[in-house]
Amino acid sequence: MRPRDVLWSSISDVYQAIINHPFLRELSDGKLSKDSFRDYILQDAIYLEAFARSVAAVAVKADENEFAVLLLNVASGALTVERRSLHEFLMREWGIRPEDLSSYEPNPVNRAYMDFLLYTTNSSTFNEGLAAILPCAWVYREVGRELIEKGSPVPQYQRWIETYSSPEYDRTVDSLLDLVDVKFSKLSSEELTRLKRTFRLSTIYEYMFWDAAYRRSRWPFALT
Amino acid sequence: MSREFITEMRRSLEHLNREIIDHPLILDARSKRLPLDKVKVLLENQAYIVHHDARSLSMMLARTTRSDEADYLARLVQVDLSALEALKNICALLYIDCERWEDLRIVPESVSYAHFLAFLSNFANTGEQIFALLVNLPVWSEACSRLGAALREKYGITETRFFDGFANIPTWVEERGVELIGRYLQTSRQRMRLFGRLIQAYEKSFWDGVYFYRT
Repeated sequence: MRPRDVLWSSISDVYQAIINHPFLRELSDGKLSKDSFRDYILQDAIYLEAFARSVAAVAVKADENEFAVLLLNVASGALTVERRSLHEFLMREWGIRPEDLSSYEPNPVNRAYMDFLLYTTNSSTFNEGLAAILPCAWVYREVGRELIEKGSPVPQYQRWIETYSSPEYDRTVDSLLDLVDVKFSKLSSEELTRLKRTFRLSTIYEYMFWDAAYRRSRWPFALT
Repeated sequence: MSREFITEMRRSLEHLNREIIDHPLILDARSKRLPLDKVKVLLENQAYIVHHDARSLSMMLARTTRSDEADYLARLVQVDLSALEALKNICALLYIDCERWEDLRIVPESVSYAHFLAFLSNFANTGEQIFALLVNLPVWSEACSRLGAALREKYGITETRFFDGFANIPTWVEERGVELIGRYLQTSRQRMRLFGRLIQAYEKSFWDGVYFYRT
C-alpha cells in the first residue's frame, strides 16, 4: 500500500462527511445561499495567504531542490492563480477590493486552521509540515472531481467547481502525492502514525471550514 | 518619498554599479576573449545561487505578515522559478549538471550574494528585503542583458533565456516594490541603506569571483 493510500484510508469517514455536507450538496444543486458562498470565498481568500506562507515554510526545509521547487510552485500558485483567478474575480463581482480583505476577520474555525498550519509548518519537520498542508490541495481535488460530473446551475458555483477540477490543478496535486510517496515510504510505522494524525487533524479542519461557512459562524464577542 | 529614497540610493551606488555593468568579465565576453569555461563557471555558481535564492524568497514569503506583500513575494518566486527552468536548459546545453550543485566549481566570493539573501530572509523585515532586491535587480538585469547578447552573438549560444528573463524583469517588480517599501521607510531607512550597499558589494563579488577563478 502506498503512503498516499494509507493516508487517504485514514480519513475516509471525514471525506464522506465533507462530500455529503449540505454546503457542497447545495453548491451543486444551486440551492446554496449566496451569503454562505460569499462568506466562504472571503474566508478562503484570507486562508489562502496563510496556506501559501505555510507551504513556503515547508519548501524552505526540503532536502531536495526538486521538492523545494514543487512546493514553491504550490505556494505561489495559491496566491497568484487560485486567489487571483477565482477569489478576486468573485470579489470584483461583489464590489470587494483585494485591499479590503484585511478588514474581514477570519471566523473562529479559519483562525484555528490557519494557526495550526502556520505553527505546524514552522515548528515541525518537513514531513509533518507536508502532512499538514496536504489535505487542502488533495481534498479540494477530490471534491472538484466529484462535483464536475454534476456541475451547478449557478455560474459562480460552476466556476468554483471548474477551478478545482482543472488539469493543471490535477497535475499539481499528483506531484504532491508523488512527493508524499517518496518521503513517507521511508518512515517507521510510529512516524507514519504521527503524520497520519496530523493529516487527519488538518482534514477535520477542512470539514469544519465548510461547515463554518454554511452556518455563517461568527465570534461570540466583538474582537475589538 | 520611497521613489526619492531609492533614487538617492542608486545614485550613491552609481560607481559600484558601473563597475558591475562594465565588469571585465562582461567586456571580455563582448569581445570574445572570455574562455567558454569561465561561462560554465558562472553558470555553475548561478545553479547554486538560484536554487538557494528560491528558498530565501520562500522564507521571505513564509515570514511576511501582510497580504499585498505576500502577493508580491509570491510573484517574485514565480520569476525565480522561471529563471531556474531557463538555467537548466542552458546548463544542459553546456553539459553542466546543475541539479548537483554540490559537485560544481562553487566560488565562495561568487555565492556570498546568495548567503546574504538568506541572511535578509531571516533577519530583515519585508520592506528591507524588497528594498535590497530593488537596488540589486536593475543592475543584475543590465549585466544579464549584456552578457546574454554577447553569448548569442560571439559564442553562438542560442539558449540564453536565463539571461533574457532577467534582462526583461516585469515592470511591476519596480512599481509595486517602491510602493511597498514606503511603509517601512520611517523605521528602516538606515538599515535599508546598509543592506543596499551590502547587496551591491556582494553582486560585484559574484562577478569578481568568477572572473578571477583559476580554471
